Amino acid sequence: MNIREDKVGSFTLLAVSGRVDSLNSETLKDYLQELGKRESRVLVDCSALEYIGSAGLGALLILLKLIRKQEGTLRLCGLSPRIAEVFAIAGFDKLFPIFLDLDSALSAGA
Amino acid sequence: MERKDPESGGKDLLEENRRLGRENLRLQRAVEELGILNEIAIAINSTLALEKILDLITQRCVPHLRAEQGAVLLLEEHKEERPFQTLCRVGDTSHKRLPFRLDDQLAGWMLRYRSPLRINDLGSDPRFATGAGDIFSVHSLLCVPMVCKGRMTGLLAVFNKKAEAGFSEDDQRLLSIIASESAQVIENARLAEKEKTLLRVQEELNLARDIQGNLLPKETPRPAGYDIAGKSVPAKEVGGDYYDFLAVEENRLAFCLGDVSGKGLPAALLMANLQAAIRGQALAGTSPTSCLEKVNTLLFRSTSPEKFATMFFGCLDTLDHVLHYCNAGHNYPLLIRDGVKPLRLSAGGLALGCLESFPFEEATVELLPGDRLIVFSDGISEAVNHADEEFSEARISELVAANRDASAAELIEKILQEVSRHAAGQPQMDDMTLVVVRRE
Repeated sequence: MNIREDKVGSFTLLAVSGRVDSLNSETLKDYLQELGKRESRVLVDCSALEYIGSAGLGALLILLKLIRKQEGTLRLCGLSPRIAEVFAIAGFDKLFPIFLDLDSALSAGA
Repeated sequence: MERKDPESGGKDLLEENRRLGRENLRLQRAVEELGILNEIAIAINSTLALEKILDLITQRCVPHLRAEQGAVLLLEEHKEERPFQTLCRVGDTSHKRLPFRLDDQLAGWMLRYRSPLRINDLGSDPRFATGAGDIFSVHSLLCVPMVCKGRMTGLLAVFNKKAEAGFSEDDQRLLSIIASESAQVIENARLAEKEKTLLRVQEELNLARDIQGNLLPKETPRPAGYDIAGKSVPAKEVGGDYYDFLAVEENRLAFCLGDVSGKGLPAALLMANLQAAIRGQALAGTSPTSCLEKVNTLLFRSTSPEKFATMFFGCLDTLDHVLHYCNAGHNYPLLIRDGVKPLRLSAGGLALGCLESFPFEEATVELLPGDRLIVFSDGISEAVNHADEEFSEARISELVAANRDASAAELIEKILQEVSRHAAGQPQMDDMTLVVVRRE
């Protein structure tokens, strides 16, 4: 798993790549917990995400709750069909605004 | 004939006598040293109890080196702030205890230089400048590192020599030998204690496994015209998966399969909570959606923000053969029917515990004779082989389709066997749970 943070326009862009499994999800959780307190507009780029397990979804859930508390914006983009299905099965597609790619996520209103 | 000057002969003799006396003293000391070394070796090898070993070492060093106090400090792994732990301190009861600050200073020095330290005038030693009156009771000290397989494991120190000249080089040599003799024995005792702790944890985990096993249904319901089975295999002693059968009323059977995020004990604790909540709601005879809506709120309120549970909840009418179900974020169960594509039971909503309230959906499906419903956790579908290839839903469907006449229990065993064949020696990464409902 790799995490890269950038600034793109008004968003903090977080690229999470590789495999997020039960062995490294704590790292992601700690990172997102800190990020969710520091930033209010976050876009998570999942285009290089190969696998995410339930612990990884839990880490994203923390981020969502922290951003919502700040009344901020959290968007996901670039989910591969495999990752999109993981989100859909858990019902997380109803929880997170998911965009096809980076451009559409950045250009969407608000 | 040669005559010796009687005067000079007497001198020689006197000199010889003195030399022998010195030699005698030296030998006596050597014997004493060997004696104490032997005594320590026997004593510390007679037990594996760490505290006793440390006691024995200090108890013998203090009187032999004519010190007032002695201490063994052991280096604690993974503790950067206070790397040493004083485990034993023995001294004359008539004297005050050593100030603990000195321990820290000694420990710091030893970690840095890893060589013996002998100070006979502590008050004027700039290396150990301490606040006035702080270490008033210590005037001399001798301290040596304990090294085991190239790694410093602790230090052995004695304080306040009861002699004007202070600690000698001989004292230092002896203490060094004792330290090197003891280091391995102490290390072994520490490892033995660690192992004992691990064994205790293991015992507790085994107990927890039994308790969790008892939470699973002890009997499988057998409504007329149906063959039902369930099984859960945790990846560790305990897991976050579970399944349950609940006879709601006559001709209505509720069943569920849940998967709490995470693994091991934390997941197991939450699983027990979830199981109790579901039982409470289901026995009240509510519909799958209202049951899951209430449990969702309960779970949300009693868990940390990253925790959630996926759950498939079904309620089967065994007279009209209709299954009412709600799938809260769980892997889609597969309804396998001859001649048609497997049906995935996806209606429901979000995993439980994510949001305080969520409007779940309910759907119904009719079970025809020969239909097999396979509810499974992701430990089954996501079990990977050496090439990182998942067992997959497709393999489950194929396997069930190919074993048309197998009973529900046999299907479960077949699936588990195939998963283990697929994983071929890879460790089981996740809990595996299955419920099979087969209409005869």
